[in-house]
Amino acid sequence: MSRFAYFLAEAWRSLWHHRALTLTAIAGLAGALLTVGVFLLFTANAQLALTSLGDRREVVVYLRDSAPEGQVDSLRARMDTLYGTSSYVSKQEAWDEFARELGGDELLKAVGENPLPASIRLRLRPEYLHFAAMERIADALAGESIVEEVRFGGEWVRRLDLFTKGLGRANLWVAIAVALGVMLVVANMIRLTVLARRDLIRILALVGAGPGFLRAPLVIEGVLVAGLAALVALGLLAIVWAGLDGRPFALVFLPWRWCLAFVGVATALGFAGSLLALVTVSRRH
Amino acid sequence: MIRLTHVSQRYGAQVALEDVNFEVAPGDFCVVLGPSGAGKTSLLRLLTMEADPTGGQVQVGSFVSGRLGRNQRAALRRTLGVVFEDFKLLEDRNLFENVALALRIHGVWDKATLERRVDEALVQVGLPGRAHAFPRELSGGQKQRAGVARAIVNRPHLVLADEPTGNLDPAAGEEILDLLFQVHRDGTTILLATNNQELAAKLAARGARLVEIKDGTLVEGVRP
Repeated sequence: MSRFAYFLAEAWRSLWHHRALTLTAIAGLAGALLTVGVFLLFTANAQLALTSLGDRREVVVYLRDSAPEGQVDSLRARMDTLYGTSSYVSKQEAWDEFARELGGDELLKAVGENPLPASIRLRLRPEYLHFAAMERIADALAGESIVEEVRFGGEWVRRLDLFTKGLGRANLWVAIAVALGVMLVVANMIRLTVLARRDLIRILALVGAGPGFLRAPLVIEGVLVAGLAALVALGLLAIVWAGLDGRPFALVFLPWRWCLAFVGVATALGFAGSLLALVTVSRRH
Repeated sequence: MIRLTHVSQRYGAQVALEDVNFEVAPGDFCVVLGPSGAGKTSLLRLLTMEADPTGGQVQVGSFVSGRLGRNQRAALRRTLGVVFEDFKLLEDRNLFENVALALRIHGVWDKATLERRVDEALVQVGLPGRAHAFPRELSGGQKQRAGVARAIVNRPHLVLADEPTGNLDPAAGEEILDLLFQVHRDGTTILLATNNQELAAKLAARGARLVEIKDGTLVEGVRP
């Protein structure tokens, strides 16, 4: 048996031996981690929705009727270079589109001459998909002589940005609170384990076990408990997701990379919690 | 092997050892006799460096008390074998695991080596074929034999035995003493602490060096 396999077996033996304590710790941690999981689920779905909405975040540059074709092409070339991808919508195309949206051109016939201006629609690069950048770009384009007006739905974009930032902040605070909670639960569990196994630890120390030999199984215990709790929390989250999906709208589950990161971070917190507990333990031996 | 120079050990106002000067040479079989509370446990705790003396200096092999870190204290203990009055076997593990524990702590992880060394130690203490027995299945004498196997499996130069027959009936106690003399004949230094005067007399009769611990001081060669 290799050294790691031995320590793993020792950790498992201890977890099994103190299974009531182990189950209590896993249940507590899973509950806390589920809270983070629910927030992550909403974040993942909000991000998906925002990406889809973000695709529609564009700047529309309305052109003067007198704008020479050469200057329009020049402006588009600059917009493509600086901000993203532009597409030209002629007066006729705008008219046709408007007619389609109204469901026919009967009403428009009454207007007579096409009053709609030609425009350039600019799909921005991802780094410009926020209110400040869009406002700056709109101001810059509005200064062009061939431009009549620039629109980008400023208030809507600003609210979208605020929502995204608010969600990110909430996630951060919940994650910090739960991370501290996980570390403290693991640290207390390891302290209780050490208390319960103090005779064993004393025997090991008297037979010559160094700090590493004493600590390794306990650290692995903390990692295992946190990892198992994360898996339980993911299982519970899947149940929550299945219950919410389609009510009132469809939800996607966490991407697999997020699931891996979720378990990875939880085990890392278990590791940190174990070390926190062992700082005091190893001083006694 | 062991050298105590002007060693004192106090617990508050209580004096456990006072200005003790004491040496054990390689190859000695030394018996420390004293009643309960005389300072035997304090002496053994100093030798395993579980505690530092409040005065003087303790030297065991190349390890000197004072500023030893945790890793160095562990390294010292790996050079010793310790036999306890209450055996201190791990009840939820069989004899193989109990004895192999000392080897693993020593850094032996190879399965074949572990099996060979544990088997050798169990044969040496008269427990051949009992590797899979659990402590609860053994008599007191057999448990202590297992304790001795764990103490000697790493072939230490020094074995410390703290009341090794204290929990045994006279016959089992005799067997453990025979076993310790056998370990001694193989070249291991033994320091045995006991409060049993009769036992000390028997050991002295078999050639052991006798030291009495009394009121925190050591007196050489007292006949019990």
